[in-house]
Amino acid sequence: MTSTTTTHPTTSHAAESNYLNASKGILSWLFTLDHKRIGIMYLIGVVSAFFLGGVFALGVRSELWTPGKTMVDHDTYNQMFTLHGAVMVFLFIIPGIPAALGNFALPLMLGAKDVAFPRLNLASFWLWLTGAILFVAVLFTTGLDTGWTFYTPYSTTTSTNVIAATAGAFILGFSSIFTGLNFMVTIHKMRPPGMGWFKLPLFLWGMYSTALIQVLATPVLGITLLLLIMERAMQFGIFDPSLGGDPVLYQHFFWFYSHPAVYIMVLPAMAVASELISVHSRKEIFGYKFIGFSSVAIAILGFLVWGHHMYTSGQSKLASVVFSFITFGIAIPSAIKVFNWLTTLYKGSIQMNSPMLYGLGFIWLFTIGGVTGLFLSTMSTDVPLHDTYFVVAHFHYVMVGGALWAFLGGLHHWFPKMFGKMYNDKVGRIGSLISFVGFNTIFFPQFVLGTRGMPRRYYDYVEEFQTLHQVSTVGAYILLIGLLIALFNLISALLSGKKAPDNPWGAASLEWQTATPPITHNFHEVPKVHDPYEVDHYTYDAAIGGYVRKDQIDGTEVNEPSVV
Amino acid sequence: MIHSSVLAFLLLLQQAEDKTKWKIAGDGGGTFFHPPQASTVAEQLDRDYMMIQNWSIFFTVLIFGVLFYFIVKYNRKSHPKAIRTSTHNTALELLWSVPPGFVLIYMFWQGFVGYEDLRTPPLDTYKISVTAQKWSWTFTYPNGVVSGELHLPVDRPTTLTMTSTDVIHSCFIPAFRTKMDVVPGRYTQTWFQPTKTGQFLLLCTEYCGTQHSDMLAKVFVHTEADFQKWLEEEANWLPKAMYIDVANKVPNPSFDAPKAGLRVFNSLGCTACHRSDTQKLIGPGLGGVFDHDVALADGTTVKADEAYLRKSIEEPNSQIVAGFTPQMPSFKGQIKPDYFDVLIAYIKSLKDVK
Repeated sequence: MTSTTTTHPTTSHAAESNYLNASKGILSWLFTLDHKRIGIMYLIGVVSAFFLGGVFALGVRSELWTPGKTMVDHDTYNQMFTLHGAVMVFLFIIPGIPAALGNFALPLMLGAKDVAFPRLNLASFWLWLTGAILFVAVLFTTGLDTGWTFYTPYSTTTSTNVIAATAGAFILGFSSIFTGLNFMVTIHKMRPPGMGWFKLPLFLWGMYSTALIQVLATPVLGITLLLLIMERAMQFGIFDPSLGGDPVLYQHFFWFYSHPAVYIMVLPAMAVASELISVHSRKEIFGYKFIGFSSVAIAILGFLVWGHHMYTSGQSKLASVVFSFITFGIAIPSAIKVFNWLTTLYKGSIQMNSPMLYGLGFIWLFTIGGVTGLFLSTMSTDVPLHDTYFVVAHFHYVMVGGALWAFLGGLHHWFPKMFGKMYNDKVGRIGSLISFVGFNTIFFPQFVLGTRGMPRRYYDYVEEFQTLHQVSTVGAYILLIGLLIALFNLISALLSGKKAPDNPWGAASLEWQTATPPITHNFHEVPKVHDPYEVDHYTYDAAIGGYVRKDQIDGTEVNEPSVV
Repeated sequence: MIHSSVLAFLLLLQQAEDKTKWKIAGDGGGTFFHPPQASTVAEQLDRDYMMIQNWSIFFTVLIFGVLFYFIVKYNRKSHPKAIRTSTHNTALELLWSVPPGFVLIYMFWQGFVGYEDLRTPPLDTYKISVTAQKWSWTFTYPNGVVSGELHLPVDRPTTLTMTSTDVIHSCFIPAFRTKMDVVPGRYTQTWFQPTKTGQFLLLCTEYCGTQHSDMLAKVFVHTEADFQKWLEEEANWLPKAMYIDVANKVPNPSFDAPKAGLRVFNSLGCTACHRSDTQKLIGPGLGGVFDHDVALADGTTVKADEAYLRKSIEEPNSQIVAGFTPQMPSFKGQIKPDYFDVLIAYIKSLKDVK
């Protein structure tokens, strides 16, 4: 660890340094090996990327207010939807929960000092930054108009800056692999005494399953993008039929990564949801093993379904049949999770606070995203729906309704621990509800646009679609308002929030059993491991404004690490 | 001939027509969720769709119902203290995964059967070949007629055999519920049997660049008799216009070659990228080109004579005009000689357009 001192464990919290103030200056952040600081830098990075991608999204939605030209021309529109997709996928959703929230929470949840390879962790952040800079470079050069999927031979023949963008995605891939590898080793090797696999918080089962995909699938993306770069720069002839290649091969390669990548986005979201639902309903999680193993099942099955993106590509019927069947198989572990979350709520005491509103919103949005996937995995009904707005609505319900909602829920959940400050919960709830209304207003009408035959990636459209497009565009601005409220609420908490207690929610997992904000080395001594979901052992103490463990009140376990 | 001039005039009007005014189905119809069912598979696919939608609504209402019930009953205000309950129940887990599993298998099976019907044409179909290029469609009929619009006989199974000259496109006719990618270097096939006469829309659904959203084509479904009439007219309009006596090739002295050329210009989809005046689209406007000097991207200048015009259509990327990028597909071998001649005549006729 580069960061400096930690005072002796016996000194009181008030005088103690924490990871935020242990050392000062920009360099102490940029070259830190502290997983918490790296997590915070990732957080700032991915949130910035999210707002950049959001600007493009608003551009796209505004342009679609009328058919024909509303503000910009064809090419600008094509660039906007491409950069919206590429920035959101590669710079925000994939690193979002694992690299920002995971980096902060994972070692704390294990009672560990740091991840297994702190230097690799810093390298991962720097690679993310390099990739992000390349994407921004694309913006200031000839742009990018291929769609985030870079389908050949369009991507090998267009005049835009495909090489910089694919090089960026290639580098971001390594960032993702490094994070995944680090998390896997950390979970394997750094669990404290007494924490077996089934005493891991479910967040870590989700992180582990995600890491499995990151490590095994991302190299294929790397190879594919390298081939694409070589094809463009040196006329290799792998994908372009005019050079003897096969463009459909590219789709196989691409989706071999990018379908599992969908689970890189949504498994962490499910993992966060498991924490939120249990902690904020004051109930032990129901069906721990089913939730945990369903993550692993999704991670494995996720490798075997890529061809469901290609029912209309000309792939063989047999291939489509197999891919369709396995795709239906994935619906079961996903549904198991939803049912277990619901059962967890039974007879709980549901705290309708900001993190929980995002958690409950996640169940709602993910359910809609999930069931609409059935229309697309069914081979016959996929044919008219493929590449229409139905698909756009479906994957936004999963990726935004799922991943973004869980990200915001997780951020509101861990925010007090990260910064030692409480936000205004009422404002947080208002932001969450406005965002929820806005999101549904954007994307629900798009299902109908899709079934009626509106293709995606269209600058112009026939007039009969205008009303639904306008409803959708209004929704985009409502969502913007909701998200800005959430952002300003958190920023004002940073500046002038009340001091947060060590355990504001009464959670039983280990990250809440240390100081807020944590010290640089996380724990003064190896914390005692309990069941991560025995939330009913914690009771609210008005004097502290947070929760304390019950047996501490009784005085039976005076050596608990989090005693104030 | 007056007939062909009127037609040419109508086509000129159509060139100016705003594509946003086109409709998925010319006479509207359909339900809130779907366009009208205009092919044999449409009804079956919509039935599958509604089956899945009903199951989805069932499960969604169940999940949301339980969620709301719990939120109302067990929120902190009405239920301040959580009550410990069992933390696992294998019977319950099986109950909510196995029966829904059977529903999923049923959906898979219906989808599989429907897909087989959708993708397996009857033995004897009417065959049309399709070439897609940025950003237009060319349909070639068995008698050699080439058109930028898809004309079909009703109640007759028809196969489209498709390929692309540049990037991947996809042929989507919402009213028929059919979609198939059109891939360069490959032939893909799709088939359908229209069940309704009328006008429908074909859209490109694989992103293909600047004017992807303009890559639409009108689909006309005729009665068999009307279809034959259209085919006949399309096959013979040019010879009929050119000759007083087609069999003996006696030329028509009042033949208006440029007007005939405009019809060819429209049917080949040239209007997607070229205007007939001097304004730029994707490609240069064709007004005032012939007989003038053209600055090329490599810095040289050529005189736009007839040889230059022909070469620019057959090998469009050999001499790129300054300020443009190589985008145009080659039309070499796709335009029959008489049609090529009148097309060139049309472009020549634009030489004084400013």
